[in-house]
Amino acid sequence: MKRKINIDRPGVDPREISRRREAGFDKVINVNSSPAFGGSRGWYLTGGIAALVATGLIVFFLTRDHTPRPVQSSITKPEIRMPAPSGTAVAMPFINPPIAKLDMPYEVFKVNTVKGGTFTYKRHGSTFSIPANSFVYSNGTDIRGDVTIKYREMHDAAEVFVSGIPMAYDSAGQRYHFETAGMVEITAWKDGQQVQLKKGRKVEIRMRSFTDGSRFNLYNLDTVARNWTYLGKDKIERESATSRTYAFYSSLDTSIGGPMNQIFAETETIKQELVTLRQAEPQAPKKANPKRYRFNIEVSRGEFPDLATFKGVQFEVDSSEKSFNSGVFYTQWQDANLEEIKKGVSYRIHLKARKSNQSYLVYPVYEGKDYEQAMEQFNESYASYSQKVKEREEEMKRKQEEYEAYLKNYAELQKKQFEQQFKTMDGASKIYRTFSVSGFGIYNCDCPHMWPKGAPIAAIFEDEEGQPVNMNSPYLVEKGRNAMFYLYGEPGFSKTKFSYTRGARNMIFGATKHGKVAIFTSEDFEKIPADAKKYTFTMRILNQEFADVDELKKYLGI
Amino acid sequence: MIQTQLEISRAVRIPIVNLSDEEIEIREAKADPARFRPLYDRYYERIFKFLYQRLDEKEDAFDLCSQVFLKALTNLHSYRSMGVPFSSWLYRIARNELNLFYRRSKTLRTVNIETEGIYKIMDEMEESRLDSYGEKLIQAVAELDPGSLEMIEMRYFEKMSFREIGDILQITESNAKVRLYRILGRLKKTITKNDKS
Repeated sequence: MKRKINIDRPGVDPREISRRREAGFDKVINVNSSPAFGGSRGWYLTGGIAALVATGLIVFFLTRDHTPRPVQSSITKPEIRMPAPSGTAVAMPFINPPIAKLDMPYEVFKVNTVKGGTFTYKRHGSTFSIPANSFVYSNGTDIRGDVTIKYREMHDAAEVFVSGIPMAYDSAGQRYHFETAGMVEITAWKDGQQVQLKKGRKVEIRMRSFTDGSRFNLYNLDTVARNWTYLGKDKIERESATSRTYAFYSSLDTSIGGPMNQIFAETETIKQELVTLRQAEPQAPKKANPKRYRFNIEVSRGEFPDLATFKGVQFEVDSSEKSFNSGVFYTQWQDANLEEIKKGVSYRIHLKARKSNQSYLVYPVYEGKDYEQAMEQFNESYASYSQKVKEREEEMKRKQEEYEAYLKNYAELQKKQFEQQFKTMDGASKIYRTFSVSGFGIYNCDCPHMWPKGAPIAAIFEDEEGQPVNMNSPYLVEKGRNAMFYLYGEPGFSKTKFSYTRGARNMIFGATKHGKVAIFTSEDFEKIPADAKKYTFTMRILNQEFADVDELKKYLGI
Repeated sequence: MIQTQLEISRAVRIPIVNLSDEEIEIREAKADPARFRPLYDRYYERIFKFLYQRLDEKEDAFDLCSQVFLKALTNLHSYRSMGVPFSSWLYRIARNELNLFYRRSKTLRTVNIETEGIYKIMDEMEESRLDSYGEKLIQAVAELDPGSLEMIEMRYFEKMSFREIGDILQITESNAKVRLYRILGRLKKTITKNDKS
């Protein structure tokens, strides 16, 4: 017999579980209290054939051959492919543009194989140079005549997303996520067939980049191993204007970024202090009810300071104790224990006689002058408590406002810098990353990042109608930098639990199974409570079709 | 009602038993089944998911889940904390119900695999050739004996700690670790069996 295997089977909707839980409790209680079973089919089975099962088991153990047999299995899906870093287990191509009719377009060039040449990618002004006699078929035979080169670049999260090129990188058992400073795909074709670069020949690529910094490495996408291969460092060409830009960001990080992080940490500390304070909120003393029974018990107040707070405490019997009667007071009790249920609020008294034990739920009360004194003391301590809470809340608000001010300042300075940059931008003031490659394929200038730190949040993804959304290629993106964190398949996180950098301009986008863009904007992120451990992410499904990726970028604000 | 008071004649040292909130709920539920509700609400989803992980049909999982809580309530009087959490006791009942179910329905176990768990297994096996071995690993996991499969599921698909696994299987935490690493060793041997490298 074969075991059935399911891979990445979707879970049951939590709402359905909740409904069944609600509906099920009464049945559990009713069946527990009634002699006959009833209800769902499983229960009939259990009740009706219990005896048969018992008999069957006896026969089973007496007659079964106990030689262990190897267990075979069958896989229900017709084809199982090990998931790519893109994290899906069904048979999907490794590079998988997720949005219907939307992809990064190629520019096409005709290369004379005898001459080679240098070509310019019109979109950004990048160039690539191919030496003469550089093309061969897969069997190594030289190619004559013209070859078609397809070339495209991806520079930001939206462009990477629509291209379907995975941005997760596995190295030494650790998963990283790429922040790109620019990615190139270059392929060569002859009569509809993909061809290769001859051994020993190199293509020189001079790729325009919009991200400065030397923290980026050069990687090549190995579509067979389904992973990126580290190749080394690219070479950066930059003009003096862009060097000033680099210095600008360094000083911004020092003057604003540092203090912002400090304030954020202080705010978190105050939040924690408030939680601790509230847990110790003083409880108001209760007045004795003359209509209820009470116990007068001498307790060891040194050990139980919560009972020593107010003088003259008595223990009143809770109204839920229907079986309590005055006979308790005429019984010769040999021992009594007081069990704390909620400190200062409720207890259980256990009374032990020679032939019987009783226990009753009680709570502390006061009467007469003792009550008045207790209330006075309570009012004083509560006033002090309220004052402390108020002070911490005000401090937290001040810190938050300070943080917001820094954030705003940072954004304004950055905006001015961008405007300045664009004004002075010409052919001489751009960044180019140059590198040589010995094969056609996909090359990426990246800085690998680990997953953002922070307390994980359990996420439910729904659309605006409350229906679950299961996305293809979902990414957590920090706007302003091209870091893309692939939401699924991150070791240590499930696809419904992840952490993100609070305060960053975060965004999630992915594709629905119908090839539509689903987004959760940075404004939506700001509405998530800071201490949330669980959250329903309401994804906006964009039903419109985008003419090209630039239209999508404009919509996303990238 | 007459107001009256009881004075305990001697000043007794009253030991206060500091029970956790859950122990108090259990105690109250023993006295009154209607007070079983908080425990039921707290663990229902977990037990359901535990069962559904091991079953093909969600209706079977819902049925068995009700059965687990019925049995728990019926046998609550026999539950003693003794350092073992209430949740572990529920999981034990759930395992028993599953075994009964398999015998009754005469089907073999369904194996529900999460690729995220497979990644984790590969990491712990210190194996990075995901593309080569991934499919073999899925097969190998699905063909494990029931006890080994259960440990893999609890650790990698249900993300239980060794302590939890030990409580449920009634073995020590160290024993659980040792068993699991042996299973990983066997899995690695199986998938790399014909590897020339």
